[in-house]
Amino acid sequence: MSIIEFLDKNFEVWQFWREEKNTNRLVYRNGELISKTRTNSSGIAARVNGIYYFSTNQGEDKLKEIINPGKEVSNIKLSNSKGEYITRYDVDLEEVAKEINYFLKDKNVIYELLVFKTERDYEFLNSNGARVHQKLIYNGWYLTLIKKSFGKSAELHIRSLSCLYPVKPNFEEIQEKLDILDKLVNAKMIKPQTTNLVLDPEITDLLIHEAYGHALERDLIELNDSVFSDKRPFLGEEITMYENPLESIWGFYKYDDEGFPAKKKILIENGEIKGFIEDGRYGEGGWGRKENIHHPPIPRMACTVLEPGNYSKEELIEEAKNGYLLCGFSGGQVDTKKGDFMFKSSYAFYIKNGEISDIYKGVAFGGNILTIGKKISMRSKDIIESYGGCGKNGQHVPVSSKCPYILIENVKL
Amino acid sequence: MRIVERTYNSIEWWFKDSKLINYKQNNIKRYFARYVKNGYLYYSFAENIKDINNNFEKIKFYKDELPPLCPGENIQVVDTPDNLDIPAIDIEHELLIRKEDVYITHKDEEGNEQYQALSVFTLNVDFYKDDKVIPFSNSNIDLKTLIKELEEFYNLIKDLNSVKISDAEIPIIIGDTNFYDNLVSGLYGDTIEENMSWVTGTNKFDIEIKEDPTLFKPYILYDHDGLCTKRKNIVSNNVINPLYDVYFAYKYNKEPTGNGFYLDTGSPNGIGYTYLSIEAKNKINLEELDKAIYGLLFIGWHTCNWFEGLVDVKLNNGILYENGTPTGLVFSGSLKLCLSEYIPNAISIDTEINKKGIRYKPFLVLNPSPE
Repeated sequence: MSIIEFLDKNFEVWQFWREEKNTNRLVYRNGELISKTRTNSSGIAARVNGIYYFSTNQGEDKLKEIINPGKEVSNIKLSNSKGEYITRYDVDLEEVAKEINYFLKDKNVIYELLVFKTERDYEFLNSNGARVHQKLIYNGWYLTLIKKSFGKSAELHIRSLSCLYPVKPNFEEIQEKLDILDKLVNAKMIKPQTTNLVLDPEITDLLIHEAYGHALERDLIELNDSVFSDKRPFLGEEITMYENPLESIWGFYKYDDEGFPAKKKILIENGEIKGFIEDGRYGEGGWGRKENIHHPPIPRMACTVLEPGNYSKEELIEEAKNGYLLCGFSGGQVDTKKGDFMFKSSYAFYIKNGEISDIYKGVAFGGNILTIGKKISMRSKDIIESYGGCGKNGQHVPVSSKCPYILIENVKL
Repeated sequence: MRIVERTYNSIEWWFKDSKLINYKQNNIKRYFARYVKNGYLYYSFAENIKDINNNFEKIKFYKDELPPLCPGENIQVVDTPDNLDIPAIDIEHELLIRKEDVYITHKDEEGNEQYQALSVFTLNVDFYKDDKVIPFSNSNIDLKTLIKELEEFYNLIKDLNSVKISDAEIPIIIGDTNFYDNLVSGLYGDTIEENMSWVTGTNKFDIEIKEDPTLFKPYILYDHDGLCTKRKNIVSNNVINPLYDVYFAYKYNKEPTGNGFYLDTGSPNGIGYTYLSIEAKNKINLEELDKAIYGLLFIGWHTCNWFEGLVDVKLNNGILYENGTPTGLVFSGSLKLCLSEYIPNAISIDTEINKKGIRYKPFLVLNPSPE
């Protein structure tokens, strides 16, 4: 009996995944290759009765052996899509690494370079007749640059990621970061204060993704883990954001991991909450994503877009008068239940009388989701896509965002 | 050729207010093979033994052969309970119980064999009070011990109410193991040799950091290189003994210390530890402090500059102690310090905490930034 016949025979509601995921990674430290790996996380998995998830890489008989659900049953919406989406391209990792290592030779910088390619090929079937086959290829590089001088140090990160075409080294950006790093080593720390901030698109992404996006994930709403679980507050006129996996070159997919077709969805419109990020377990589906075969899908963002405004970056800096321009992100965290967040920029420029001045080390700023949006007073007309990974419940998935520069007034650093 | 077979079985139960909301069970088998030839380490990862020969990669290696396998057996597995005896908890909460069983067999070309089978339970609970989260998290081979610890924690917090701390610089006790974990990553041999550690330029360490593979159960008697782990002083009397796996030890002409832990990452090298005990030489009793916040969870650890040892994190939640007695729950505050300045004068609270593989006397920071 095949696994599908087994599932059909024994369970009214089932979902089945077959996946092959291969990753090639090269890691260099200061030009020397320290790790070259080819890893595989293939296998099959089934979720039955909407709640019990089982996975193995030891074949159908093993899966049949370990499927042993308890008595709970959960409501779940099932897709009935049938379709296929296959990505085809190749990338020469060694060539990409060679070019970057050559560029960084003699630059007097400590660095670690990771170049990778991941092919994820999966098939999804369920008891509602859905049959979806999707193959996505992810590739890119991460570069960490560290400068040390007389006991002081500074660190910057650059990345270039895509799942639609091979990425190339961007030497202009690397050189720009090297120039900043030189200045950053001896840069001062910003003292705690309340001030005006202009956020670049990368750190605006952090605010939109971490603060608003996660709090709008339907599982957190239903489990009372979100600040929006019991209220739909007005969040500020300047916030209009939506999700659309089809708009991204990194968080892209045609079908989510439960077979629902990807689509655009408004989350917040002029400060009013209009929608949520949902999988089939907790809503209408379309954003059920999983890291690999050994995790069940959960509601995740893919490409989050903050609508642009009408101003130039320079007009925002001028309007800020005195404050800081925060650039790049070096991490952040949010407590979706309380709404508190803390983000850190990679570096910052002092804004003095409406003009960019001295460089400072990265600074952390915190706040609360319910109030921060009302302090946003301007958005730039240019938006830039930022790429990264997002962790939730032990699962890491590719995500991106498209954001403008924003001006936030009276923020505590 | 050395062959490692690793089987990982895990079960997760997720409960919300005592009702099962998710269940996950994984069964994953993987193989890892390696040998040294002509100045290179050849290695291969595969999910199926027949694929192992197709996946070989190589990196430069600094000796002609791998160190000998440490043969032996270490079996510490426990059964999966038929019924989870969850304690009655009358405030809103989310609970995750995870059981992991790992079976690792190393075999070398001479027929030596090493076998390790380990079980561990992890318990993560988020309690909700006044719309705020208070977390409990720990791991142990014995689920009953974990549940007992959970009940003690619940009894500690259930009658405490949220208190507001305004503009006062109250001492903060670092009770979040992320701090101690990151502190120790600066003592890995590769980060020190490559000038990427906060310890560079620091020569006074009035703290003691020891590794003991038998400090908690399950004992971890072998590392991923197949070497025996051992008790050792990592920092003692102002001397640092950095941790090494085989690859980085040979690269820097040192001896491996039984600290190769990397198979989860799919990398042929990487440094880690088994269990740690950490305390400062200077100690103080909690009762001696008029007021102190015992910080349970801080956010922003990964945004800190660990190369330079600059810590800047936000207190997410903690317990206010007055003269040693818990009097309230605190949900705001911040902690900033520079490790190279802080460590030479670190003070420990003379209370032993056993959490997530680290036995520590929590560090006290006397003048944190006011919130």
